[in-house]
Order: sequence, then structure tokens, then C-alpha cells
Amino acid sequence: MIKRQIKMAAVLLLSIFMLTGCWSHKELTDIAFVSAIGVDRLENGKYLVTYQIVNSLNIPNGMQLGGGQGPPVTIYQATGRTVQEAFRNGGQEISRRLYFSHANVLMVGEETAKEGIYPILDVLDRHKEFRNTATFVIARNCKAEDILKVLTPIDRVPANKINKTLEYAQEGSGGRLKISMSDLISDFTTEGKEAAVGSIKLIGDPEKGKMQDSLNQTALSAYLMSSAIGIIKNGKLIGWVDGNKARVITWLLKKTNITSLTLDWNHHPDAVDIRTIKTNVDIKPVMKNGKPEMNIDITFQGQLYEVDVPMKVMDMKVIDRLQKAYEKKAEQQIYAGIRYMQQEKCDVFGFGQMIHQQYPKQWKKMKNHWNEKGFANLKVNVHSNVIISNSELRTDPFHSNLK
Amino acid sequence: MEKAKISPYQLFVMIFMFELGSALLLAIGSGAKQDAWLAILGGMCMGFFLFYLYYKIFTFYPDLSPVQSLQAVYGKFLGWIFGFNFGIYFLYLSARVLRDFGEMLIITSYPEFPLFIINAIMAFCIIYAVKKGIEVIARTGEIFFIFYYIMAITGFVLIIVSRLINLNHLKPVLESGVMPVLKSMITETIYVPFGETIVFFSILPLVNHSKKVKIAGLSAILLSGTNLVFSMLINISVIGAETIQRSPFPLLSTIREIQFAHFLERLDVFFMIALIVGGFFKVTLFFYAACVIFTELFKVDGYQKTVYPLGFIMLCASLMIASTYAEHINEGLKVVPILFHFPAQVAFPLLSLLIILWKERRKKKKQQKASPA
Repeated sequence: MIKRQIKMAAVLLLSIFMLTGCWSHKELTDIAFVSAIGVDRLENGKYLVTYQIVNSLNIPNGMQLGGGQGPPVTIYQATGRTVQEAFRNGGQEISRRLYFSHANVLMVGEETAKEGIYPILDVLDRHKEFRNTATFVIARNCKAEDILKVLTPIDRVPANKINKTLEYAQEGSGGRLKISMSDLISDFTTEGKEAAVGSIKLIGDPEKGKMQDSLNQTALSAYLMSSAIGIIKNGKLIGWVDGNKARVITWLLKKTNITSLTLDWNHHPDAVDIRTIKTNVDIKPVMKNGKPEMNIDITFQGQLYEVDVPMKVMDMKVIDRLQKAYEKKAEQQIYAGIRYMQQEKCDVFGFGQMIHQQYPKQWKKMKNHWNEKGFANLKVNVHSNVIISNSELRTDPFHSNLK
Repeated sequence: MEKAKISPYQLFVMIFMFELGSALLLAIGSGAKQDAWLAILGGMCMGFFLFYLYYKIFTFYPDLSPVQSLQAVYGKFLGWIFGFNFGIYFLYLSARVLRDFGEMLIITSYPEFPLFIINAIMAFCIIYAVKKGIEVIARTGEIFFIFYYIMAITGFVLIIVSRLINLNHLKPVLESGVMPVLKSMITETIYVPFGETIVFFSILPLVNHSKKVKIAGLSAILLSGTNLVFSMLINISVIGAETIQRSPFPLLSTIREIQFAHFLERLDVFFMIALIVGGFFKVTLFFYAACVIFTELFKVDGYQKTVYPLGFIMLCASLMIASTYAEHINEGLKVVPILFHFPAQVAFPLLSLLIILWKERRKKKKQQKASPA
């Protein structure tokens, strides 16, 4: 009996060593949470990696207003011949171990992106801590470090601000993209699809943007905003697409549901505006005489949001005319957007991928030089359908009743 | 042989957990690109055939242990030799899966851990389970079966609601014909995991309703096979075939994509649980079979006595069979199927069945000759 108890005690004592799980423990006070990573290539060919590290004490939460003194993030920088070497060198200046699990932005400077982004991605794709769901963004007109240094109001962690801005702009107005690392890499490896990425630009004085005092004003002296869509071919940034053309990209990539469409009406410029609440896109490749064609069906469902001219909104004929006019305008925009990309010879819509999926045999013949030959001369048939389902809280605008 | 009884349901659960084991985690059949799921499906169909083959052999000797049946077929000496080979084969496979398991844990979450410690902790657990006997293992299986399913369904729902599924990734089906699918079926998916059910020869005699063995086994293969096909379909439609080819653990990459409502993300732990539970059952069953066989070959009384020495061999072998992960995987994909899996899982059982049928016929003829006289 006693022998058994001794045995039991020995087992329990031994298991203490097994159960704690503190072999490679990392205390919360020993790790630095990286919220965003910026990569720029220097003139000497080295990489300059910028870490945005969260000062968790200085972020106000819901309960205690204010938080601590000092900025919510701190910037550290390190250089290296590879990105991984820069990571290691970064460890030499930070008193804690860099922890990448919560990094959700990877920012690359415009010049670096033009030189090529392939060498940057592998270390992060492979990384155990870094998540491929992080957003890939290009810093437009500047270096990644400039953007990551800017402090932001409201969303105090700039990485969150960048993510949220891109996400809401993509969803709610179009023409802006939020692309994750895994989407980007999958675009690089997929036949017949080129990558398009979002960008962030800095407005104002970058030097002032670093100061916390700059947040103590209503109109900021430096702030960040989402910007045009960058087109990437063979791993290099080759151009920017903005405005309506960029919105065509987000429509066809099925990223944008809500947007506003304006229309001239009875010779009044930009007199009517609808806000789409649902956008359905259906793209189908077909083969005609051995040549591929794309049939694009796009349906916008929206509400009449603004009418600045007299109009009989409840009249079916008027609405019908309005819808027809809208359909025509949308088709024109989409044709223009596609034609622009065809001139750039860059299939960001993934038409080639769709042909590959639908007609694998025919695809084999055309996959070489797809962008230059196939896509650039691809025939596209766009058909749009606009449904104006209601007109909010008013029928006819007050313009109809003006005295 | 152990004096234990297990129910057909427990057999079903054990086969199920065994099949899913490491196959759920690894990129099996990925040579067929986006048709990997077809390769698994094909492997499952062959799995039915193989299990039926094993079952057929089992029906001739329903009460004999594996070594006894081998000796009944091939005679005392040859049977002993074959039995020894099978013992080594199962012990080697248990070491292999243990190594798989340790490497996976190190790669995915414990980079600073020595492989020896991870493998040793798992090996202790397995040795303990095997020492407690097959009934305990079976009951553990029953508990984890439900647990596994709840987890799988949760993960599946999360993937759906994160809107990750893009069925276009599955197209074009059979892009370069049937050959790549057949190739990865014949070189991979038949053996791992389906052909590995040969290990259940040491457990089948313990089932209390031997008539229900067939239905339990086949339905377990059906269920686990469809689950594997399903999980591969999800993997492909979430991360795409190219990424699967570049990932040692596609399921982990898929799970890492989950991002639901801005707070449910980074659910790697789903993968870890599947890894630990599946790995445990696979190694345990291989190791159990090895112990049972060696006990009989060397006439040890009580297989529990072989557990510690063999466990030690398994642990050491798991560290010694390869020096790097790449070497380990390469051996597993190129050498083991041809050198070990095919002879042990397909050729030898087929040969044995033929010999058994021939013997039976001769016996009948003799009886017929004997009866009129």
C-alpha cells in the first residue's frame, strides 16, 4: 500500500516537469507585437524593414479613457541583404523578441514594388507566426517607412486604420482594393490572372505626421488615405488605375457591392444618383469559332438617392428610361475599364483563369503570351441590368414642386 | 493474444480514427493537383477491395492470431519468418508516424523543442495505452470520435461563414487526363491510409461478433474516405492546388485562412488537436500490432512485457530513420510504398489468399475422396 503511494507520488512529481509547458516560453513582457511591416529597397540593394510595434499601454480601451502617455506605436528599422536578415538585425535594437502573429499589414514602397516584389514575399509566406491573411499594400508616391510612421486618429493603431480604410472603401465605394498575402501569391502562381493590389497614400507633411501633437488638431497636417489600384505583372508594379476604371476592376473581381452611380438627365449634368446595394456579376467564357469570348452579365440593384431635377419618380416609364440610361452608362464604363487593361496587356480580371477552368484543352494553345496576344484581343460582351428598387423616403423631388 | 473483446462499433471507430490519423494532415495525392480528391476517392475504392481481401483471409481463420494464421498457411518456419517481417513492418510504420507527428509539432508550433522530447512524451503516452490493452484504446477511440466530429463540423461551418470556399479552384477537372490521378492513386493513396488497414489483422479476432466485421470495416473506410475526400475538396477550394503543392500541411494553411467577424481567427489549435488525436491512434494501433506479433513469435507470456523494450526501439527508430524532414518525407513517398507497402499490403495478402483457396480445394477433394470409401 505504502509502496503504491510512493510510486504514485513519484509519478505525480515527475509529471510536474512535463505539464508546465514552459520549454520555450515567451512572457507577454518579453515580446513586441508587430502590427505592420514595411519593406523598402535601398539604393545599395539592401532592404530596409520598418516595424510598427504596438505600445499596448498607450492604446486607450473602452473602459479607461486616455490610455498612457506617448504614441500608440513605435517604429523600429533595420537593414539587411535579405528581408530575413533585416528581421534578425531588427532584433538587435529592440529589447524584446519580435512577435509577428498580429501583424496584419505588409507595406511595400512604390519604388521597391516597381523593382519587383517576389524577393520580399517568401520569408513571410513561410513564416510560422506571420499570417497570410495580412493585407498587402503599396505605399503610393512614397516609401513604406513614411506611411508607417504617420500617427492616425480614431483608430489609434495605424495598421488597423489602413486595413479598415481599404476594406470599407473596397466594399462601400469601389475602386479600392484590399488584397491579402495569400491572394497575391495565388495570383502569382495562377495561369491567366495577374495581380492587382491596393495602395495607401500620404497627404500632407510626413515630418509632422510623426508627432503626437499632430493628432491634437481637427484638420490633420498629415493623414493617410486609400488610393488607386496597382497593377502587377511578373512581380513588378507596372501602373496605377484610378477612378471609374479602378471601380470596374473591383466590380469584376466581385469585391464591391455598394457604390454610387451618377447620370445626366434632361441635359442637366450629374442630376441623378443611385446607390447600389447589391451587385451581381456573372462572367462566363464561351468559345465562338475556336476563339474565346467573355460574356459578362452584371446586375446592379439600387435605390434612387439623389434627384436634382424635376422628375416623376413614380412613373414606370420614367423609371424604365432611367434604368435603360443607367445600363448604357454602366456598360460604357465597363467596356472602357476592360479596354484600358487590354491596352496595358494585363489580365487582372482573371479571364484567362476562367477560360482555363472552362476550356482546359483550348487553353493549352493560348496560354503562352496570354496577356499580349489572347487577352489584348479578347472579345468581351457586356450586358448590364439596373434595377431601381425604391427611392428612399421621397417620391418626386421637391424640384418638381418649386414655386 | 490478448483476452479482450471489442464490439463491432469500437472496431469501426478505431478504423475510422486510424484512417484519418495522419492522412488528414498531410498533402496526400497532391501530385494530381486539383484532382487530388479524385485520387483519394480512387484510393478509397481500392481500399474497399483491399479490406475485403483481408476480411476474406480472416474468415478462414477467425479465431487465430496473425502469427498463427500465417503459420497455418505457410507452415511453422516460413510463417514465423513472415510474421517477423510483419512485426518489423508495423514497428517501422509506428516509428514513421511518430516521426511525422514530432516533425509536424516542431514545424508548426514548437520550433525550439528537441525532437527527442516531443517524441518521447508521445511514446510514453502510447506505451501506456498499449499496456492498458486494446479495450482501453477502443474506448478512448469512442470518446474522441464524437469529439473529432464536433470539431470538424465547427471548423467546416467557420470556413463556410468566412466565405473562403471558391469552387472554381476545382476546375478544370481532369485537366491532363486520368493518368496523374491514377499515378498518385497507385503510388500513394491506396497504401496510405487505406491499405494500412492490414494492421487490423491483430485486432479482428478480438471482435465479439465476427460476422459484423465486414460491415464495420467497410463502413469505416467509406466514412473516413469520404471525410478525407471532403477535407481535400475544402483545402483545394480554399487555398488552391498550387498552394497545396507548396504546403506540407494543407489543412493548417486552410485553417489559418479563417477570419470570421474580425475576431475568430488564428485557429491553428484545430489543426493541433486533429494532429495529436489522429497521430496518437495511428501510432498506437501500429505499435499494438507489432507488440502482439513479437509476443507470439518469441513466446513471451503476456504482450505487456514487450511494450517497454519495443517502445524504446520505436522511439529510437523514430529519431534515426531520417536526419531531416525532407529525407523523411522523400523516403515516405518514394521508397516505402514500393519497397514495403506494395508487397505487404497488396502482393502478400493476394498470394496468401490464393494459397488458402488452393488448400481449401485440396482439402475438399480429399474429403470427397474419403467419404465414399
